[in-house]
Amino acid sequence: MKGKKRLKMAHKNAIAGYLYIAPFIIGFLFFFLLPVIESFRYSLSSMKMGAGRYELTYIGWENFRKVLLIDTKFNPGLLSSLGTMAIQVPVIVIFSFFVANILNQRFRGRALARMVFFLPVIITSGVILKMENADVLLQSSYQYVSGNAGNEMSDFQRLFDIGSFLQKYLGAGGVVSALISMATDHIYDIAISAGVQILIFLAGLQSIAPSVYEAARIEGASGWEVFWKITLPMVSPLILVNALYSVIDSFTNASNEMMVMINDTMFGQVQFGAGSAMAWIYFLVIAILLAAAGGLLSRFVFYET
Amino acid sequence: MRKFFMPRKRKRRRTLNRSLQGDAAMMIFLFLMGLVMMFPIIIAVSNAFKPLSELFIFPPRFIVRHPTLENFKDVFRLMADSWVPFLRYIFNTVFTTLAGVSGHVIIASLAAYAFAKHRMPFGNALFGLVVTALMFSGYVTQIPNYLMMKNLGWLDSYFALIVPALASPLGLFLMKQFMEQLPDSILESARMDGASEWYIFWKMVMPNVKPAWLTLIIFAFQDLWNATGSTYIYSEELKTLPYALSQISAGSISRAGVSAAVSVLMMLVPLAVFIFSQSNIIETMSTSGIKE
Repeated sequence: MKGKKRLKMAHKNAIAGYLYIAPFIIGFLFFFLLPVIESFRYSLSSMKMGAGRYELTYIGWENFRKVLLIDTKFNPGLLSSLGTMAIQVPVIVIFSFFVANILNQRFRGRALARMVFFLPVIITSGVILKMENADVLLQSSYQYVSGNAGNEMSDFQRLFDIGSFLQKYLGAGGVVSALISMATDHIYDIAISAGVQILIFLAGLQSIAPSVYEAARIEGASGWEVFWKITLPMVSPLILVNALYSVIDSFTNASNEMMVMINDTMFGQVQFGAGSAMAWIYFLVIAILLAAAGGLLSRFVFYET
Repeated sequence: MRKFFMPRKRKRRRTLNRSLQGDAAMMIFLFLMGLVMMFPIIIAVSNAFKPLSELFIFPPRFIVRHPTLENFKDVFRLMADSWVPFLRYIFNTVFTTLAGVSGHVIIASLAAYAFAKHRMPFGNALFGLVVTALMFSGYVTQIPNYLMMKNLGWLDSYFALIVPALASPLGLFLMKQFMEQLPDSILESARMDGASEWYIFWKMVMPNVKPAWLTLIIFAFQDLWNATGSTYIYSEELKTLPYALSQISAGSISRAGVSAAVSVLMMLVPLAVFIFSQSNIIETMSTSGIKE
Protein backbone atom coordinates (compact mmCIF):
# COMPACT_ATOMS: atom_id res chain seq x y z
CA MET A 1 0.00 0.00 0.00
CA LYS A 2 2.66 2.39 1.05
CA GLY A 3 4.87 1.41 -1.87
CA LYS A 4 2.07 1.91 -4.34
CA LYS A 5 1.36 5.39 -3.13
CA ARG A 6 5.02 6.35 -3.35
CA LEU A 7 5.20 5.15 -6.91
CA LYS A 8 2.23 7.30 -7.74
CA MET A 9 3.94 10.32 -6.22
CA ALA A 10 7.07 9.66 -8.24
CA HIS A 11 4.95 9.29 -11.37
CA LYS A 12 3.19 12.53 -10.75
CA ASN A 13 6.48 14.22 -10.10
CA ALA A 14 7.96 12.95 -13.36
CA ILE A 15 4.92 13.98 -15.39
CA ALA A 16 4.98 17.48 -13.92
CA GLY A 17 8.68 17.60 -14.72
CA TYR A 18 8.13 16.67 -18.35
CA LEU A 19 5.41 19.28 -18.62
CA TYR A 20 7.79 21.94 -17.35
CA ILE A 21 10.54 21.09 -19.77
CA ALA A 22 8.24 20.53 -22.74
CA PRO A 23 8.22 24.12 -24.07
CA PHE A 24 11.96 24.35 -23.85
CA ILE A 25 12.64 20.97 -25.38
CA ILE A 26 10.27 21.56 -28.28
CA GLY A 27 12.00 24.83 -29.14
CA PHE A 28 15.37 23.22 -28.66
CA LEU A 29 14.44 20.34 -30.93
CA PHE A 30 13.39 22.55 -33.80
CA PHE A 31 16.07 25.23 -33.62
CA PHE A 32 19.09 23.37 -32.33
CA LEU A 33 18.87 19.62 -32.60
CA LEU A 34 17.26 19.17 -36.00
CA PRO A 35 19.58 21.69 -37.70
CA VAL A 36 22.58 19.99 -36.10
CA ILE A 37 21.44 16.58 -37.34
CA GLU A 38 20.76 18.07 -40.75
CA SER A 39 24.30 19.42 -40.87
CA PHE A 40 25.63 15.92 -40.17
CA ARG A 41 23.82 14.78 -43.30
CA TYR A 42 25.53 17.58 -45.23
CA SER A 43 28.91 16.50 -43.93
CA LEU A 44 28.42 13.09 -45.53
CA SER A 45 27.36 14.53 -48.84
CA SER A 46 28.54 16.74 -51.58
CA MET A 47 26.20 19.62 -52.06
CA LYS A 48 25.37 21.36 -55.27
CA MET A 49 23.43 24.58 -55.34
CA GLY A 50 20.94 25.01 -58.13
CA ALA A 51 18.38 27.66 -58.91
CA GLY A 52 16.36 27.98 -55.73
CA ARG A 53 17.24 24.49 -54.55
CA TYR A 54 20.15 22.25 -53.66
CA GLU A 55 21.15 18.69 -54.41
CA LEU A 56 22.76 16.31 -51.97
CA THR A 57 24.77 13.33 -53.15
CA TYR A 58 25.86 10.83 -50.56
CA ILE A 59 29.64 10.37 -50.59
CA GLY A 60 30.28 8.69 -47.24
CA TRP A 61 33.22 9.81 -45.14
CA GLU A 62 34.99 11.46 -48.04
CA ASN A 63 34.63 14.97 -46.59
CA PHE A 64 36.10 13.90 -43.26
CA ARG A 65 38.99 12.15 -44.99
CA LYS A 66 39.74 15.26 -47.02
CA VAL A 67 39.64 17.59 -44.05
CA LEU A 68 41.74 15.43 -41.77
CA LEU A 69 44.27 13.93 -44.16
CA ILE A 70 44.53 16.23 -47.15
CA ASP A 71 43.76 19.75 -45.91
CA THR A 72 47.06 21.20 -44.67
CA LYS A 73 45.53 23.99 -42.66
CA PHE A 74 42.93 22.16 -40.61
CA ASN A 75 44.98 20.16 -38.12
CA PRO A 76 47.46 22.92 -37.16
CA GLY A 77 44.55 25.36 -36.88
CA LEU A 78 42.68 23.01 -34.59
CA LEU A 79 45.74 22.49 -32.39
CA SER A 80 46.50 26.17 -32.11
CA SER A 81 42.96 27.10 -31.15
CA LEU A 82 43.00 24.33 -28.55
CA GLY A 83 46.25 25.72 -27.16
CA THR A 84 44.86 29.22 -26.91
CA MET A 85 41.83 27.92 -25.10
CA ALA A 86 43.86 25.86 -22.64
CA ILE A 87 45.62 29.01 -21.48
CA GLN A 88 42.77 31.47 -21.73
CA VAL A 89 39.91 29.64 -20.06
CA PRO A 90 41.51 29.03 -16.62
CA VAL A 91 42.86 32.58 -16.57
CA ILE A 92 39.48 34.03 -17.46
CA VAL A 93 37.67 31.98 -14.82
CA ILE A 94 40.15 32.88 -12.09
CA PHE A 95 40.25 36.52 -13.11
CA SER A 96 36.47 36.83 -13.19
CA PHE A 97 36.12 35.12 -9.82
CA PHE A 98 38.71 37.47 -8.37
CA VAL A 99 37.02 40.56 -9.76
CA ALA A 100 33.55 39.35 -8.73
CA ASN A 101 34.80 38.91 -5.20
CA ILE A 102 36.15 42.43 -5.10
CA LEU A 103 32.99 43.83 -6.64
CA ASN A 104 30.94 42.02 -4.04
CA GLN A 105 32.69 43.84 -1.20
CA ARG A 106 31.17 46.88 0.30
CA PHE A 107 32.86 50.07 -0.80
CA ARG A 108 31.93 53.46 -2.12
CA GLY A 109 31.20 53.52 -5.84
CA ARG A 110 30.50 49.82 -6.05
CA ALA A 111 27.60 50.23 -8.46
CA LEU A 112 29.78 52.31 -10.75
CA ALA A 113 32.63 49.78 -10.58
CA ARG A 114 30.25 46.98 -11.52
CA MET A 115 29.00 48.92 -14.46
CA VAL A 116 32.49 49.64 -15.66
CA PHE A 117 33.37 45.96 -15.63
CA PHE A 118 30.29 45.07 -17.59
CA LEU A 119 30.89 47.70 -20.27
CA PRO A 120 33.03 45.49 -22.55
CA VAL A 121 30.14 43.05 -22.90
CA ILE A 122 27.94 45.83 -24.15
CA ILE A 123 30.55 47.16 -26.53
CA THR A 124 31.72 43.90 -28.00
CA SER A 125 28.27 42.61 -28.77
CA GLY A 126 27.51 42.42 -32.43
CA VAL A 127 26.33 45.54 -34.06
CA ILE A 128 28.31 48.01 -32.06
CA LEU A 129 31.53 46.29 -32.97
CA LYS A 130 30.52 46.43 -36.58
CA MET A 131 29.82 50.11 -36.29
CA GLU A 132 33.25 50.75 -34.87
CA ASN A 133 34.39 49.63 -38.27
CA ALA A 134 34.75 53.15 -39.52
CA ASP A 135 36.95 53.98 -36.56
CA VAL A 136 39.14 50.98 -37.28
CA LEU A 137 39.62 52.32 -40.77
CA LEU A 138 40.65 55.65 -39.35
CA GLN A 139 43.01 54.14 -36.84
CA SER A 140 44.73 51.87 -39.29
CA SER A 141 45.18 54.67 -41.75
CA TYR A 142 46.84 56.73 -39.03
CA GLN A 143 49.14 53.85 -38.32
CA TYR A 144 49.93 53.51 -41.97
CA VAL A 145 50.67 57.18 -42.43
CA SER A 146 52.87 57.41 -39.37
CA GLY A 147 54.80 54.36 -40.57
CA ASN A 148 54.65 52.77 -37.16
CA ALA A 149 55.27 49.20 -38.27
CA GLY A 150 55.60 47.83 -34.74
CA ASN A 151 51.97 48.37 -33.84
CA GLU A 152 49.48 46.70 -36.07
CA MET A 153 46.22 48.42 -35.31
CA SER A 154 44.53 47.04 -38.38
CA ASP A 155 42.80 44.28 -36.46
CA PHE A 156 39.53 44.56 -34.48
CA GLN A 157 41.18 43.10 -31.44
CA ARG A 158 43.80 45.78 -31.43
CA LEU A 159 41.31 48.58 -31.71
CA PHE A 160 41.78 49.56 -28.14
CA ASP A 161 45.45 48.76 -27.83
CA ILE A 162 46.39 50.45 -24.60
CA GLY A 163 50.08 49.69 -24.93
CA SER A 164 50.68 51.66 -28.04
CA PHE A 165 48.41 54.36 -26.71
CA LEU A 166 50.61 54.76 -23.64
CA GLN A 167 53.69 54.64 -25.79
CA LYS A 168 52.38 57.30 -28.07
CA TYR A 169 50.72 59.75 -25.75
CA LEU A 170 52.64 59.42 -22.54
CA GLY A 171 55.99 59.01 -24.22
CA ALA A 172 57.05 56.01 -22.18
CA GLY A 173 59.85 54.23 -23.98
CA GLY A 174 62.06 51.15 -24.00
CA VAL A 175 61.62 48.21 -21.70
CA VAL A 176 58.96 49.82 -19.57
CA SER A 177 56.65 50.50 -22.46
CA ALA A 178 57.23 47.02 -23.88
CA LEU A 179 56.26 45.50 -20.55
CA ILE A 180 53.26 47.75 -20.16
CA SER A 181 52.05 47.07 -23.64
CA MET A 182 52.42 43.31 -23.21
CA ALA A 183 50.62 43.25 -19.88
CA THR A 184 47.82 45.56 -20.91
CA ASP A 185 47.36 43.69 -24.16
CA HIS A 186 46.63 40.44 -22.44
CA ILE A 187 44.75 41.93 -19.54
CA TYR A 188 42.48 43.56 -22.00
CA ASP A 189 41.90 40.37 -23.96
CA ILE A 190 41.05 38.58 -20.77
CA ALA A 191 39.05 41.36 -19.17
CA ILE A 192 36.99 41.97 -22.26
CA SER A 193 35.93 38.35 -22.41
CA ALA A 194 35.25 38.07 -18.68
CA GLY A 195 32.25 40.38 -18.34
CA VAL A 196 29.58 37.70 -18.47
CA GLN A 197 31.53 35.42 -16.14
CA ILE A 198 31.97 38.22 -13.61
CA LEU A 199 28.25 38.82 -13.63
CA ILE A 200 27.45 35.13 -13.16
CA PHE A 201 29.86 34.91 -10.24
CA LEU A 202 28.40 38.07 -8.74
CA ALA A 203 24.92 36.62 -8.87
CA GLY A 204 26.26 33.52 -7.17
CA LEU A 205 28.04 35.47 -4.46
CA GLN A 206 24.93 37.50 -3.82
CA SER A 207 22.76 34.47 -3.33
CA ILE A 208 24.86 33.25 -0.40
CA ALA A 209 22.83 33.98 2.72
CA PRO A 210 24.37 36.65 4.95
CA SER A 211 23.48 34.44 7.91
CA VAL A 212 26.16 31.93 6.92
CA TYR A 213 28.81 34.62 7.09
CA GLU A 214 27.33 35.91 10.30
CA ALA A 215 27.62 32.48 11.88
CA ALA A 216 31.21 32.07 10.71
CA ARG A 217 32.07 35.48 12.07
CA ILE A 218 30.62 34.66 15.46
CA GLU A 219 32.60 31.43 15.52
CA GLY A 220 35.70 33.52 14.91
CA ALA A 221 36.60 32.49 11.36
CA SER A 222 39.16 34.68 9.62
CA GLY A 223 38.46 36.26 6.24
CA TRP A 224 40.86 33.78 4.65
CA GLU A 225 39.01 30.83 6.15
CA VAL A 226 35.65 32.28 5.21
CA PHE A 227 36.77 32.58 1.62
CA TRP A 228 37.99 29.00 1.27
CA LYS A 229 35.39 27.31 3.45
CA ILE A 230 32.25 29.26 2.57
CA THR A 231 32.57 31.47 -0.49
CA LEU A 232 34.40 29.02 -2.73
CA PRO A 233 32.24 25.93 -2.07
CA MET A 234 29.06 28.00 -2.34
CA VAL A 235 29.90 29.32 -5.79
CA SER A 236 31.59 26.16 -7.02
CA PRO A 237 28.63 25.13 -9.21
CA LEU A 238 29.10 28.41 -11.03
CA ILE A 239 32.77 27.72 -11.66
CA LEU A 240 31.51 24.87 -13.80
CA VAL A 241 29.06 27.17 -15.58
CA ASN A 242 31.72 29.74 -16.22
CA ALA A 243 34.34 27.27 -17.41
CA LEU A 244 31.82 25.87 -19.84
CA TYR A 245 30.73 29.32 -20.93
CA SER A 246 34.31 30.46 -21.45
CA VAL A 247 35.16 27.44 -23.56
CA ILE A 248 32.08 27.91 -25.68
CA ASP A 249 32.62 31.62 -25.96
CA SER A 250 36.20 31.17 -27.09
CA PHE A 251 35.35 28.33 -29.47
CA THR A 252 32.32 29.77 -31.15
CA ASN A 253 33.60 33.30 -31.24
CA ALA A 254 33.54 34.61 -34.79
CA SER A 255 37.18 35.66 -34.51
CA ASN A 256 38.32 32.14 -33.56
CA GLU A 257 40.74 30.71 -36.11
CA MET A 258 38.63 27.61 -36.65
CA MET A 259 35.40 29.55 -37.00
CA VAL A 260 37.00 31.74 -39.62
CA MET A 261 38.16 28.63 -41.47
CA ILE A 262 34.72 26.99 -41.30
CA ASN A 263 32.99 30.16 -42.40
CA ASP A 264 35.41 30.56 -45.27
CA THR A 265 34.99 26.97 -46.41
CA MET A 266 31.22 27.11 -46.25
CA PHE A 267 30.42 30.54 -47.54
CA GLY A 268 33.67 31.64 -49.17
CA GLN A 269 34.46 28.50 -51.13
CA VAL A 270 30.83 27.28 -51.08
CA GLN A 271 31.80 23.79 -49.89
CA PHE A 272 29.04 23.02 -47.47
CA GLY A 273 29.98 19.37 -47.17
CA ALA A 274 33.60 20.02 -46.22
CA GLY A 275 32.59 22.91 -43.96
CA SER A 276 30.07 20.74 -42.12
CA ALA A 277 32.67 17.98 -41.74
CA MET A 278 35.11 20.52 -40.25
CA ALA A 279 32.45 21.76 -37.87
CA TRP A 280 31.65 18.23 -36.78
CA ILE A 281 35.27 17.32 -36.08
CA TYR A 282 35.72 20.58 -34.24
CA PHE A 283 32.54 19.97 -32.28
CA LEU A 284 33.53 16.44 -31.29
CA VAL A 285 36.95 17.58 -30.09
CA ILE A 286 35.36 20.29 -27.92
CA ALA A 287 32.74 17.89 -26.63
CA ILE A 288 35.35 15.34 -25.54
CA LEU A 289 37.49 18.03 -23.93
CA LEU A 290 34.56 19.55 -22.13
CA ALA A 291 33.32 16.22 -20.90
CA ALA A 292 36.78 15.57 -19.44
CA ALA A 293 37.05 19.04 -17.93
CA GLY A 294 33.47 18.89 -16.66
CA GLY A 295 34.05 15.53 -15.04
CA LEU A 296 37.18 16.79 -13.36
CA LEU A 297 35.58 20.03 -12.19
CA SER A 298 32.34 18.52 -10.96
CA ARG A 299 34.33 16.50 -8.42
CA PHE A 300 35.05 19.79 -6.71
CA VAL A 301 31.55 21.15 -7.03
CA PHE A 302 29.73 21.31 -3.78
CA TYR A 303 25.95 20.97 -3.70
CA GLU A 304 24.19 21.76 -0.50
CA THR A 305 21.39 19.27 -0.73
CA MET B 1 21.97 48.95 24.57
CA ARG B 2 24.25 50.46 22.02
CA LYS B 3 27.20 50.34 24.36
CA PHE B 4 26.53 46.71 25.02
CA PHE B 5 27.02 45.83 21.38
CA MET B 6 30.14 47.88 20.84
CA PRO B 7 32.81 45.38 21.90
CA ARG B 8 31.35 42.75 19.62
CA LYS B 9 31.43 45.04 16.70
CA ARG B 10 35.06 45.87 17.32
CA LYS B 11 35.93 42.22 17.44
CA ARG B 12 34.25 41.68 14.12
CA ARG B 13 36.40 44.35 12.60
CA ARG B 14 39.56 42.72 13.72
CA THR B 15 38.73 39.24 12.55
CA LEU B 16 36.92 39.55 9.26
CA ASN B 17 37.37 42.99 7.86
CA ARG B 18 40.10 43.94 5.51
CA SER B 19 43.26 45.75 6.39
CA LEU B 20 43.94 49.26 5.15
CA GLN B 21 46.70 48.05 2.82
CA GLY B 22 44.36 45.45 1.41
CA ASP B 23 41.74 48.10 0.80
CA ALA B 24 44.23 50.33 -0.93
CA ALA B 25 45.53 47.50 -3.14
CA MET B 26 41.98 46.60 -4.05
CA MET B 27 41.06 50.14 -4.98
CA ILE B 28 44.21 50.56 -7.06
CA PHE B 29 43.52 47.32 -8.90
CA LEU B 30 39.91 48.32 -9.52
CA PHE B 31 40.94 51.75 -10.68
CA LEU B 32 43.53 50.42 -13.14
CA MET B 33 41.21 47.75 -14.50
CA GLY B 34 38.41 50.26 -14.66
CA LEU B 35 40.59 52.56 -16.69
CA VAL B 36 41.31 49.77 -19.14
CA MET B 37 37.62 48.94 -19.38
CA MET B 38 36.57 52.55 -19.79
CA PHE B 39 39.03 53.26 -22.57
CA PRO B 40 36.89 52.15 -25.53
CA ILE B 41 33.80 53.79 -24.08
CA ILE B 42 35.61 57.06 -23.62
CA ILE B 43 36.84 56.89 -27.20
CA ALA B 44 33.37 56.09 -28.50
CA VAL B 45 31.65 58.82 -26.51
CA SER B 46 34.31 61.34 -27.28
CA ASN B 47 34.18 60.51 -30.99
CA ALA B 48 30.44 60.94 -30.99
CA PHE B 49 30.83 64.55 -29.88
CA LYS B 50 33.69 65.41 -32.20
CA PRO B 51 33.03 67.78 -35.06
CA LEU B 52 34.16 66.62 -38.47
CA SER B 53 37.30 68.70 -38.30
CA GLU B 54 38.45 66.87 -35.19
CA LEU B 55 37.45 63.35 -36.26
CA PHE B 56 40.06 63.24 -38.98
CA ILE B 57 42.72 65.22 -37.23
CA PHE B 58 46.23 63.81 -37.20
CA PRO B 59 47.61 62.72 -34.77
CA PRO B 60 44.19 61.59 -33.44
CA ARG B 61 43.03 63.24 -30.26
CA PHE B 62 41.79 61.11 -27.43
CA ILE B 63 39.39 63.56 -25.81
CA VAL B 64 37.15 65.87 -27.77
CA ARG B 65 38.19 69.53 -27.68
CA HIS B 66 35.14 71.32 -29.06
CA PRO B 67 32.17 69.06 -28.36
CA THR B 68 29.26 69.36 -30.74
CA LEU B 69 25.87 67.71 -31.11
CA GLU B 70 26.18 67.77 -34.89
CA ASN B 71 26.65 63.99 -35.16
CA PHE B 72 23.50 63.28 -33.18
CA LYS B 73 21.58 65.80 -35.26
CA ASP B 74 22.82 64.01 -38.35
CA VAL B 75 21.55 60.72 -36.99
CA PHE B 76 18.09 62.14 -36.39
CA ARG B 77 18.05 63.82 -39.76
CA LEU B 78 18.91 60.53 -41.45
CA MET B 79 16.25 58.83 -39.35
CA ALA B 80 13.63 61.29 -40.51
CA ASP B 81 14.61 60.59 -44.11
CA SER B 82 14.02 56.89 -43.81
CA TRP B 83 11.49 55.26 -46.05
CA VAL B 84 9.58 53.52 -43.24
CA PRO B 85 8.74 55.73 -40.23
CA PHE B 86 11.65 55.30 -37.87
CA LEU B 87 9.41 54.52 -34.92
CA ARG B 88 8.55 51.29 -36.67
CA TYR B 89 12.14 50.03 -36.36
CA ILE B 90 12.18 51.00 -32.71
CA PHE B 91 8.88 49.22 -32.15
CA ASN B 92 10.14 46.08 -33.91
CA THR B 93 13.21 45.84 -31.74
CA VAL B 94 11.45 46.72 -28.51
CA PHE B 95 8.67 44.24 -29.22
CA THR B 96 10.90 41.32 -30.20
CA THR B 97 13.25 42.04 -27.31
CA LEU B 98 10.50 42.17 -24.70
CA ALA B 99 8.73 39.07 -26.01
CA GLY B 100 11.97 37.15 -26.41
CA VAL B 101 13.46 38.07 -23.05
CA SER B 102 10.35 37.41 -20.97
CA GLY B 103 9.57 34.21 -22.87
CA HIS B 104 13.11 32.96 -22.54
CA VAL B 105 13.35 33.66 -18.83
CA ILE B 106 10.06 31.89 -18.11
CA ILE B 107 10.61 28.90 -20.38
CA ALA B 108 14.23 28.38 -19.34
CA SER B 109 13.35 28.72 -15.64
CA LEU B 110 10.50 26.23 -15.88
CA ALA B 111 12.71 23.71 -17.62
CA ALA B 112 15.58 24.38 -15.22
CA TYR B 113 13.28 23.83 -12.25
CA ALA B 114 12.20 20.48 -13.62
CA PHE B 115 15.76 19.43 -14.40
CA ALA B 116 16.99 20.53 -10.99
CA LYS B 117 14.22 19.35 -8.72
CA HIS B 118 12.20 16.66 -10.44
CA ARG B 119 13.31 13.09 -10.83
CA MET B 120 12.35 11.89 -14.26
CA PRO B 121 13.52 9.07 -16.46
CA PHE B 122 16.03 10.33 -19.06
CA GLY B 123 16.16 13.71 -17.33
CA ASN B 124 19.92 13.77 -17.08
CA ALA B 125 20.39 12.48 -20.60
CA LEU B 126 18.14 15.21 -21.97
CA PHE B 127 20.01 17.85 -20.04
CA GLY B 128 23.33 16.52 -21.29
CA LEU B 129 22.05 16.76 -24.83
CA VAL B 130 21.03 20.39 -24.35
CA VAL B 131 24.38 21.38 -22.90
CA THR B 132 26.27 19.58 -25.65
CA ALA B 133 24.31 21.48 -28.25
CA LEU B 134 25.67 24.72 -26.80
CA MET B 135 29.01 23.87 -28.33
CA PHE B 136 27.90 23.47 -31.89
CA SER B 137 29.16 26.13 -34.23
CA GLY B 138 26.52 28.54 -35.40
CA TYR B 139 27.69 28.77 -39.00
CA VAL B 140 26.94 25.17 -39.78
CA THR B 141 23.37 25.32 -38.63
CA GLN B 142 22.65 28.50 -40.56
CA ILE B 143 21.39 26.74 -43.66
CA PRO B 144 19.35 24.06 -41.86
CA ASN B 145 17.95 26.79 -39.61
CA TYR B 146 16.91 28.82 -42.60
CA LEU B 147 15.19 25.83 -44.16
CA MET B 148 13.46 25.14 -40.87
CA MET B 149 12.10 28.68 -40.77
CA LYS B 150 11.00 28.36 -44.35
CA ASN B 151 9.16 25.09 -43.72
CA LEU B 152 7.44 26.55 -40.68
CA GLY B 153 6.43 29.56 -42.74
CA TRP B 154 8.09 31.91 -40.28
CA LEU B 155 10.39 33.65 -42.69
CA ASP B 156 9.82 37.37 -42.68
CA SER B 157 7.88 37.42 -39.44
CA TYR B 158 8.54 38.28 -35.80
CA PHE B 159 8.55 34.56 -34.99
CA ALA B 160 11.88 34.12 -36.77
CA LEU B 161 13.47 36.53 -34.32
CA ILE B 162 11.65 35.62 -31.13
CA VAL B 163 11.21 31.84 -31.12
CA PRO B 164 14.85 30.72 -31.54
CA ALA B 165 15.80 33.04 -28.68
CA LEU B 166 13.33 31.30 -26.36
CA ALA B 167 15.18 28.02 -26.27
CA SER B 168 18.75 29.20 -25.84
CA PRO B 169 20.60 26.55 -23.79
CA LEU B 170 22.85 28.88 -21.79
CA GLY B 171 19.93 30.30 -19.83
CA LEU B 172 18.74 26.83 -18.93
CA PHE B 173 22.18 25.81 -17.72
CA LEU B 174 22.59 28.95 -15.60
CA MET B 175 19.15 28.67 -14.01
CA LYS B 176 19.60 24.98 -13.27
CA GLN B 177 22.85 25.54 -11.44
CA PHE B 178 21.18 28.14 -9.22
CA MET B 179 18.04 26.14 -8.55
CA GLU B 180 19.99 23.04 -7.64
CA GLN B 181 21.27 24.92 -4.62
CA LEU B 182 17.82 25.43 -3.14
CA PRO B 183 17.32 22.95 -0.33
CA ASP B 184 14.73 20.28 -1.09
CA SER B 185 13.38 20.67 2.43
CA ILE B 186 11.63 24.00 1.73
CA LEU B 187 9.94 22.63 -1.37
CA GLU B 188 8.99 19.55 0.58
CA SER B 189 7.45 21.51 3.41
CA ALA B 190 5.54 23.68 0.95
CA ARG B 191 4.15 20.53 -0.66
CA MET B 192 3.18 19.24 2.76
CA ASP B 193 1.26 22.42 3.36
CA GLY B 194 -0.66 21.81 0.18
CA ALA B 195 1.03 24.26 -2.16
CA SER B 196 0.59 23.41 -5.82
CA GLU B 197 3.61 22.87 -8.05
CA TRP B 198 2.76 26.04 -9.88
CA TYR B 199 2.61 28.00 -6.64
CA ILE B 200 5.90 26.56 -5.45
CA PHE B 201 7.57 27.53 -8.70
CA TRP B 202 6.35 31.13 -8.71
CA LYS B 203 6.32 31.90 -5.01
CA MET B 204 9.21 29.88 -3.66
CA VAL B 205 11.69 28.98 -6.38
CA MET B 206 11.68 32.11 -8.52
CA PRO B 207 12.02 34.68 -5.71
CA ASN B 208 14.96 32.72 -4.31
CA VAL B 209 16.89 32.67 -7.54
CA LYS B 210 16.18 36.30 -8.37
CA PRO B 211 19.88 37.16 -8.89
CA ALA B 212 20.03 34.39 -11.47
CA TRP B 213 17.12 35.51 -13.60
CA LEU B 214 17.94 39.18 -13.29
CA THR B 215 21.35 38.28 -14.68
CA LEU B 216 19.75 36.16 -17.37
CA ILE B 217 17.59 39.14 -18.38
CA ILE B 218 20.74 41.14 -19.03
CA PHE B 219 22.22 38.44 -21.27
CA ALA B 220 19.05 37.75 -23.18
CA PHE B 221 18.39 41.45 -23.62
CA GLN B 222 21.87 41.97 -24.93
CA ASP B 223 21.42 39.33 -27.62
CA LEU B 224 17.99 40.38 -28.80
CA TRP B 225 18.60 44.10 -28.65
CA ASN B 226 21.50 43.72 -31.05
CA ALA B 227 19.81 41.24 -33.37
CA THR B 228 19.76 42.44 -36.95
CA GLY B 229 17.73 39.46 -38.13
CA SER B 230 18.93 40.16 -41.65
CA THR B 231 18.93 36.46 -42.54
CA TYR B 232 15.24 35.94 -41.96
CA ILE B 233 13.58 39.33 -42.40
CA TYR B 234 13.15 41.03 -45.76
CA SER B 235 10.23 43.41 -45.38
CA GLU B 236 11.43 46.86 -44.55
CA GLU B 237 8.64 47.39 -42.02
CA LEU B 238 9.72 44.34 -40.01
CA LYS B 239 13.40 45.19 -39.83
CA THR B 240 15.01 45.94 -36.51
CA LEU B 241 16.63 49.02 -35.06
CA PRO B 242 20.23 47.73 -35.18
CA TYR B 243 19.73 46.93 -38.83
CA ALA B 244 18.35 50.37 -39.60
CA LEU B 245 21.09 52.08 -37.61
CA SER B 246 23.83 50.10 -39.26
CA GLN B 247 22.37 51.13 -42.60
CA ILE B 248 22.51 54.74 -41.49
CA SER B 249 26.08 54.55 -40.33
CA ALA B 250 27.28 52.51 -43.27
CA GLY B 251 28.93 54.59 -45.93
CA SER B 252 32.64 54.47 -45.24
CA ILE B 253 34.57 57.27 -43.62
CA SER B 254 32.17 60.07 -44.48
CA ARG B 255 29.71 58.71 -41.92
CA ALA B 256 32.31 58.16 -39.20
CA GLY B 257 30.77 60.76 -36.91
CA VAL B 258 27.27 59.39 -37.44
CA SER B 259 28.57 55.91 -36.76
CA ALA B 260 30.11 56.99 -33.47
CA ALA B 261 26.88 58.72 -32.41
CA VAL B 262 24.86 55.65 -33.32
CA SER B 263 27.06 53.35 -31.24
CA VAL B 264 26.62 55.61 -28.23
CA LEU B 265 22.83 55.66 -28.72
CA MET B 266 22.69 51.87 -29.02
CA MET B 267 24.70 51.42 -25.83
CA LEU B 268 22.37 53.49 -23.69
CA VAL B 269 19.48 51.05 -23.42
CA PRO B 270 21.47 47.90 -22.46
CA LEU B 271 23.30 50.04 -19.95
CA ALA B 272 20.00 51.16 -18.41
CA VAL B 273 18.80 47.55 -18.25
CA PHE B 274 22.04 46.55 -16.60
CA ILE B 275 21.80 49.27 -13.97
CA PHE B 276 18.17 48.48 -13.27
CA SER B 277 18.79 44.77 -12.89
CA GLN B 278 21.91 45.15 -10.76
CA SER B 279 20.31 47.58 -8.35
CA ASN B 280 17.43 45.14 -7.92
CA ILE B 281 19.74 42.25 -7.17
CA ILE B 282 21.40 44.15 -4.37
CA GLU B 283 18.12 45.22 -2.82
CA THR B 284 16.52 41.81 -2.76
CA MET B 285 19.46 39.82 -1.57
CA SER B 286 20.19 41.90 1.47
CA THR B 287 16.74 41.09 2.81
CA SER B 288 16.11 37.50 1.76
CA GLY B 289 18.32 34.48 1.32
CA ILE B 290 16.76 31.15 2.07
CA LYS B 291 19.88 29.20 1.15
CA GLU B 292 21.47 27.85 4.28
